[in-house]
Order: sequence, then structure tokens, then C-alpha cells
Amino acid sequence: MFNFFSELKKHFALSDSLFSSYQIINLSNKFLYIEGHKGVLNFSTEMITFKVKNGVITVQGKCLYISEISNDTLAISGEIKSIEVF
Amino acid sequence: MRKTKINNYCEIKIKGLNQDKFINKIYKKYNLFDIKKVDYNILSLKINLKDEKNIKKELINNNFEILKIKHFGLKYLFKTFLKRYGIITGILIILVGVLLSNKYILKTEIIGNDLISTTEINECLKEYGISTFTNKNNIDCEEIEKYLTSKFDKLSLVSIIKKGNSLVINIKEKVVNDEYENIDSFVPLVSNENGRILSIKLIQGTLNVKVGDLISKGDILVQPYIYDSSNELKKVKPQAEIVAEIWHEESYTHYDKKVVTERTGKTYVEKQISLCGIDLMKTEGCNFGSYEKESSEINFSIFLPIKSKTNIYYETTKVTKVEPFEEVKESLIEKCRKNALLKVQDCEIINKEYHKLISGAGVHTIVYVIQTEKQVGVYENQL
Repeated sequence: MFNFFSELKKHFALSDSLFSSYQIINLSNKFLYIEGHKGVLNFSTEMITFKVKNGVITVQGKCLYISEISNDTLAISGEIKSIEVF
Repeated sequence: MRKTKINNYCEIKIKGLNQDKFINKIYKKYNLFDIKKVDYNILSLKINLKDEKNIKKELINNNFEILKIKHFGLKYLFKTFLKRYGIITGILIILVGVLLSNKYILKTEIIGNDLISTTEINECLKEYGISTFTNKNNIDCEEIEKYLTSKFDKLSLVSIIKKGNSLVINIKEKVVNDEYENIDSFVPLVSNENGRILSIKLIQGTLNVKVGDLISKGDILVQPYIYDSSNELKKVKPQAEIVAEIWHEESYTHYDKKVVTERTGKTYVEKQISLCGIDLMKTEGCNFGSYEKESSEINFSIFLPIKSKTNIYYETTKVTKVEPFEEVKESLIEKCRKNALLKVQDCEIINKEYHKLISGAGVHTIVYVIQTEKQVGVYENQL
């Protein structure tokens, strides 16, 4: 899976300080793209919880599923109702 | 934004607990797609075809039950196909066979032959160098047509085409007039019955008889030649429709007084046992004045030549039987008629039936005659 923020950094020659430990893009509450995750903690059709550096993110909604998961990136699809960062 | 798309993938449905731990374990090594939770312990996910083997191992090691596996993509089909060595070999053989067979003639088909047999034509083609598995490129249809026409006199036209793997030979034979066919072997038309000629319809040849003539079996009816307008003798096949009157006869002689031999009822049995022709035992001989004898012989053993012979003597006497002709006349006439009818063939038309009686000194002769009409005339060599 390609790494969107890495490509951005490379293209525009941006410094690392601009990028936090993780990045999230929410597209119309239907698609969530995460870079920098550390693994899935909980997974169901109503809730997906995953670890990030110094925290945990919970995504709640309906018919949620993991579109793709790789070493650094995670893509979640479905009807997203809320995203909480702990 | 580039879209990640997998073309060759495998969809697995697994059953087990601690699915999150499992996902965390393998996502670092393998890309996982469309992970959906079907039930609290059932998960479906998609993986790359190349990772299938390793992920399956991981699943088994982590006590997951694989409920279903489905494969997608051309790569899978291609891989499956390559594993089926038998199918590949079969397809290769068929391809080779089709390529080779299209080059060669596998069958010759001959149409239109009547006088000339198919075997003769095939033998002729073999001499020319054409048979099964001849290369199509080496066949020149025009040359073969000329060759066949020159080889067979009876052929008037030959047409050859190559149709697929077959060589189709269409022939037209010469129509030879009867008058000129086998001109030296014509034989006369002869009578196959005794009778009297009723009608003649001559088709070809020279007549040797006329209406009203009495003919016997073997008499020449039509000669195998004619004289043409310049008075020259010309050989022809004799043909004619000649109808003759034929008589089928059956006779029987009856005697009013007859001396017949009858058995009296008395019998005598004589037994004889012999070894190598020498009589070991023999009963007394018969003393009947006149007798009829019946004998039978048995071999006692196949190793020793011991035979047993039994003779039965029936005493006979001569008796004069009187049977007036008038009492049996009708039955005798009917018997003669039946026997005469047996001589009549199916193709004959019965014109008249009559009988004659010749009597004198107690001896009566019945002659039954059936008069028929029949077409006569066969070739001399068929008589």
C-alpha cells in the first residue's frame, strides 16, 4: 500500500517536524485513512479501536470494515459516526 | 491518489477467537484487504495469491478453522491450468494431430462407379503413389484424372477434388450398347422346356422357329447374329419373348387283382454270439417257408471283438387282394392331379386340365395332364 504522507513529504520536500506521529484523513465520514498506526485493538462492525503513538483511536459507526491494513497504513470503510482520540 | 487494487487474490473465511491479535500478528508481514466481521467468531478477508500458502500456515498455527477459500484472478486460473499436466499434454497432442492431419489425405471417396469396382480404382491410385497419409501438396488432381482415364477404358469422365482430409473421385462410366458389349461371347437362345410355340416377339437376333412349332428342351430358338442391309453377318446378343404351351403329365397304373405278401403274425427270434467271427453260441435256425427278416448287432466290448447278433423272422404268406377300379378311381385321379401340379411352376399360366383312362384285362392306367403357358428361352450357357 502506498504511503500518502510520505509521498507528500517527498514531493514537496517537507520536514519531518510537520508530520506528527500519526495522520488521519476522513473522507465524508465514509472512508478513513490512517498512517502511523500500531495495530488493531478491537474490531467489530460497530467499532474499530486501534493504537497510535501515545494513544488509542476509536472509530464508531455502522457496517465498518478494514479496507486495507499494512505495516504503517490502515484504511477503514463504512458509515463513520464518530472518531475519538484517547 | 493511486488506488490500490488487487487482481489476483484469495478470499478466506475463518472461524476462531482472538482475531484482532491474529491480524496484528500478520499485518506487518502481509497486506490484508477487506477484513469484515461476519459473526463474533467468523471473519472474512482477502489476501494476495502469493501470500496464501504462508497465511494458511499461520491460521493453522493459531488454531483458526478455514471455513471457505475462493480464488480470483487470471493468475490463479493459469496456475491451476499449469498443474494439470494431463490436460496440457492432451491439448498439445490434439494440436499436433490436427496440424499434421490437415496436411495429409486420410480417406479416398469414390462416387459414380458401377462397372469398375472401388478396389480396382484404389489399386490403380496406389500404383500412382496415392494412398492414406499422402501429403496433400503432392497431389495434382489434373494429372491423376488423366492417369485414371488412360488406365480404364470404361471411364468417360473423371473429376477429382480435395475436400478437407478426403480425396473425392467422381467418375462417369461409358454406356456401352448391348450390341457391342462382349461381342465375341454371344450364345444362342435355347428352349428350356418341351412344348409348342404359341407366340413370338423378336427383339434382337435371327429366329430359328415359328409359331406352332413343337420344341424340345435344348432346341435353338434365336441365333446370335443378324444380316445387315449389305448382307453382312453381324454378331448380336439374341433377345426375344417366346411363349410356349407346355404339358405336365402324371400317370398311375392300377390292378384289379393283386398278389401281396402279408405277415401271418408268427415270429421267430434267432440269437448268435461270436468272437472274432467264430460262433460261441447260436440258436436253432428258422423253419418258416417264407419270411421277412430283421437283424441287429451289438458289440459287447470295445476292447474284445465279441458281438451279439439278433435275427427276427416274420412268417409271411401271399394273399390275393381284389380292389375294383371303380371304388378307388376318384382318389387315384386326385392323387395324379396333385402330383402333376407339383411340376407346375409359379410363373406358368394353367390353360387346361384333363385326364385319360386306359383300361384292359383288369389293368387301368390314369394319365393326368395339365396344360400351361410359359415364357421359354434361356442362353445356351445357362441351360
